[in-house]
Amino acid sequence: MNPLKKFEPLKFISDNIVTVIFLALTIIAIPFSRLSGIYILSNLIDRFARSAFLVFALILPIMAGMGINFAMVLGATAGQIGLIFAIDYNVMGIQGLLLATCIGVPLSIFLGWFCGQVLNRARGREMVTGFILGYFMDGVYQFFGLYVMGWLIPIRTREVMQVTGSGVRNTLALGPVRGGLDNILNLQVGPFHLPLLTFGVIAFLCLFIIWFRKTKLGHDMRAIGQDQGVSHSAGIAVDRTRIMAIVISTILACIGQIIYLQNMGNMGTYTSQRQAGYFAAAAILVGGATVSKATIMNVFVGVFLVHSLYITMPIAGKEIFKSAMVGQYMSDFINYAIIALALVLHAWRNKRNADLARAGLRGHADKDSALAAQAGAVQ
Amino acid sequence: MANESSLLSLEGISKDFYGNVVLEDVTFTVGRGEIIGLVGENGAGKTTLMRILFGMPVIAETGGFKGRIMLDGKQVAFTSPFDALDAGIGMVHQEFSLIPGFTATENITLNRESMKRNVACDIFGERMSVLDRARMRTRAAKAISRLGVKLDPDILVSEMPVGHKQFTEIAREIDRSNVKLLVLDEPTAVLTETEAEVLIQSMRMLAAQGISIIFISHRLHEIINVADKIVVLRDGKAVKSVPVKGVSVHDIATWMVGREVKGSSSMLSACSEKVFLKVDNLWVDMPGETVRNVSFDVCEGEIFGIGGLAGQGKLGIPNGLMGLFPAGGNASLDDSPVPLNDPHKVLNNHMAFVSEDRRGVGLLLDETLEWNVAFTAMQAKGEHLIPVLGGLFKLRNERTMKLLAEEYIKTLEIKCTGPKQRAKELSGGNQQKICLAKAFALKPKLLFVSEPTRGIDVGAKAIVLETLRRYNKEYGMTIVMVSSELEELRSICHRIAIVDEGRIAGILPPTAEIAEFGLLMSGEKTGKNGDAA
Amino acid sequence: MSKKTLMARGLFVAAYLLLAIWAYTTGKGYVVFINNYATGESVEVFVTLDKASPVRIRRGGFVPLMVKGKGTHQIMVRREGAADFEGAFVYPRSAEALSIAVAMIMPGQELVVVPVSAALEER
Repeated sequence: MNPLKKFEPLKFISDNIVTVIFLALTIIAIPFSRLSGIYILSNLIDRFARSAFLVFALILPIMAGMGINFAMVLGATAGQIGLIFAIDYNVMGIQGLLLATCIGVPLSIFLGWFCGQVLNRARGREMVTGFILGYFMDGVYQFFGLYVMGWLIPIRTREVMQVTGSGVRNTLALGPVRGGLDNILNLQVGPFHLPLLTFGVIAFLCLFIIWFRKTKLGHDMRAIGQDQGVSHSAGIAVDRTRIMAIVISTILACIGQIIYLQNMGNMGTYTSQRQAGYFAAAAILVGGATVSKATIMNVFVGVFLVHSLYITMPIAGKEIFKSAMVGQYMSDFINYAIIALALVLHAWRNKRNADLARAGLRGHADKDSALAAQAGAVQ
Repeated sequence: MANESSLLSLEGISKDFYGNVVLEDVTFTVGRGEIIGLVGENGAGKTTLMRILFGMPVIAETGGFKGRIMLDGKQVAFTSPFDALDAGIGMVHQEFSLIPGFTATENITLNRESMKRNVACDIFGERMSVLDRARMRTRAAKAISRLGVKLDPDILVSEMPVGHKQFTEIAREIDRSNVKLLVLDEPTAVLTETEAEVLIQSMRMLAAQGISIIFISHRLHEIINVADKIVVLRDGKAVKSVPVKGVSVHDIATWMVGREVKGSSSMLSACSEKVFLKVDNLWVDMPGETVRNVSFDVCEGEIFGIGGLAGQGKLGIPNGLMGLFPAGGNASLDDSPVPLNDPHKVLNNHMAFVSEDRRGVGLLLDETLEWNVAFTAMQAKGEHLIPVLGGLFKLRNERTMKLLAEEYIKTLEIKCTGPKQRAKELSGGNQQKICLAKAFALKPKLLFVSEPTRGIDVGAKAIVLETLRRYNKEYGMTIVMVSSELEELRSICHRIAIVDEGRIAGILPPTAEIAEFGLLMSGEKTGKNGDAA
Repeated sequence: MSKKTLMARGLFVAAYLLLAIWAYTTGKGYVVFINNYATGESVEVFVTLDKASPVRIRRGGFVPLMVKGKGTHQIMVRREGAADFEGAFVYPRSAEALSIAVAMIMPGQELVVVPVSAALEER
């Protein structure tokens, strides 16, 4: 009756095909790159600390049945606005990051609420709507960065201002807050550099998500994610809960982007937020999440795999094609291809499940076994 | 079981939707711990009655209702289903409203979870409370034990057999502390015989605990088996309200459908014995109208009727054969196989379909009549097109299209200003005629008509039926007609198949007794052609 | 809304605002101009403020460096051919900017800091 109890290698691979493809690519790229294991690992640790938080932002909307929240770009934007102010006011170190967060979070709540309102009116098309909302936000953000800053809100620091004398620079050096979180509590273990505080923040976030799933709100989100109609008739405030999922996701994206940028040390004022969105979506999908199911484990696996490829691919490309550009191109290409592949696979799985259910149209006995098989496929 | 003091009484309930009377002066009472069997055909008003009882917003939006509802001796007027739930009335729906990835416990306590407060509640609200899983499980186990069934509280709904899902739903309703009355809407429709038997046992147990039950079912023997009192609705009236003692299934079936039959089959053309359409083991995945396993033969020149209650699969048959929904099985027309899942080939195969979804599938509402009439012929057969440059591309032949439209406007007596009028400007009856004209323009040998008289007035109905009869008689066109109106089928068909649970329950001549049809529809009896489980 | 809820929410908002204010006041960076203007034997120096990485100042040059918040700060000066200097200075509350001349730093002596407005007047 329960197909889960038996381990079938082929089924396991077909259910995790995205992860398997990515793992294979990485394993192929490693020997070509001729990088040492220590180099790759120490880079991985650094990059994990940098970007894991961002990817966690995607878990709750998936849980609430809203797919990949491409509108997390809105939260990343809010984080960047916070950082612009922190840099402009010349607030340094961890305090600068806290100030950026304090400015970014209320902004995220507003943007997330707005986004949730829009997504509730675009039921069933949340992902593409979120994607377009990201572009819309780009426009608003550029207006803010290029015109409002320096015109309505004076820029105090010359390093923030464009050379033309108004608006925020295209590339902003985050010197004062660079490493503001990473450098506070460090541990050197052999060749590896461990930013303990950053790890602590990520661990805290994991605990938060585990706890959150046990709360009434988290439970409601899971219910809504599976069936909005049933949840509504049970009296759960569906629209409000969906908005909350997006608001929390936006706040996490805001904080995640701040953590990401403090590690990077500089920020592409008008491009970083978009990269954050693509990266997070690719990572969680590579980690084995689908548009309808995501776990903390998916985040960890995804972040490690994507970064392994990012580290090795450009070098491998340089060795094979004598051009680092080709390698860079390859890793970007694979990144987008993986998002597309995961979405296509999701549609394909839905179709396969419908076929399975259909196979049992004749008679109750058949139907039950088909439903069980379908349940297995969904797991 | 019935107690003297009644729990619920419905007094003189009447309801009309914009002049269309759905319920008329319905009165009955429900005693404490009493099981009422509520029966009636589709459209008899059962659904509307339950909507009124539950205070569904749609009732207030369409002008409210007349009469009063007394619960525990007090008049009640619910404004939303949640009010009804608070007052202790629970409803178990026909479709499962369960969350598939949740356990039985989680479903039973859905949105009424036991919770533990914490600090975050004060800041961010009550929904930050953590679920108390141990208590939830205890509650679920208690509700399940009241039903007297074995059900693991930790099993996922998606892994449950159908019967357990039904119990989970009922357990959810009785988990409410104050539940007094349960409405079970067709709870046994999806169950096997044994599962249904267990459910009936559970209903008796609940009644013994003082919970009243309104049991809606079209399986009449179950009603007789479990109910204390029976209420039969027909055309919005409570035609019978009697204790169940001494009532037979046959009696109920007659009360349900018993109305005068107009017309007769005498005007029918004779049909040959030659099998024209042969359908074997057809299944169709049409949402809400699933066809599971259907086999039948249609003779050349026959009008073959397909009837049955809504949702049993009768609409799925033509839609599946015409390739509009995924289907499987075998079908052959005049000994050549019918390609399934390919609408284009089917249309080329001398088959045509008048859809029940007139405004959606049937018509191009914003286009002219001539366009509508000629469209399918143009698409499927390449008629009314002028080849240009040796067939490199084609132009519409406006002249022949106009002639065609005018011809049908005349023969079918379509009331319109001319072939250039837009389809959406016509009345329902005339739109239906356009749909027929469109199908006739393909000159099919076999025509499927689905619900041809739905939503059109009496006069137009007669013309539509007469047209079908005439084409059958004069051109020898074989017709398969699907309709919910039994009278209509009996007035024009040679044979009538009744579909129940996605299977053919039996095939009867139109002269058969009305109770026979009623029994087939309620799954009480299966004919020789049926193979229901 | 109960009294307890109201209080909890009030406290939460207050804590949030306090955090922002604390971050701003303690984290704001202030500039310190450090010059290595030649006074004869002056050479290239490396200056470290607080926990930042050392900054090179060539002979005759000056750099603006940032310190986090006003109050007491550590300074370390390293130059070739001389012992490292380690000391502390207080950023005056009233000052908008501060100037330190490496040439004026003598081992074993009090560090001389000059608020910039005063330094400008001198010139």
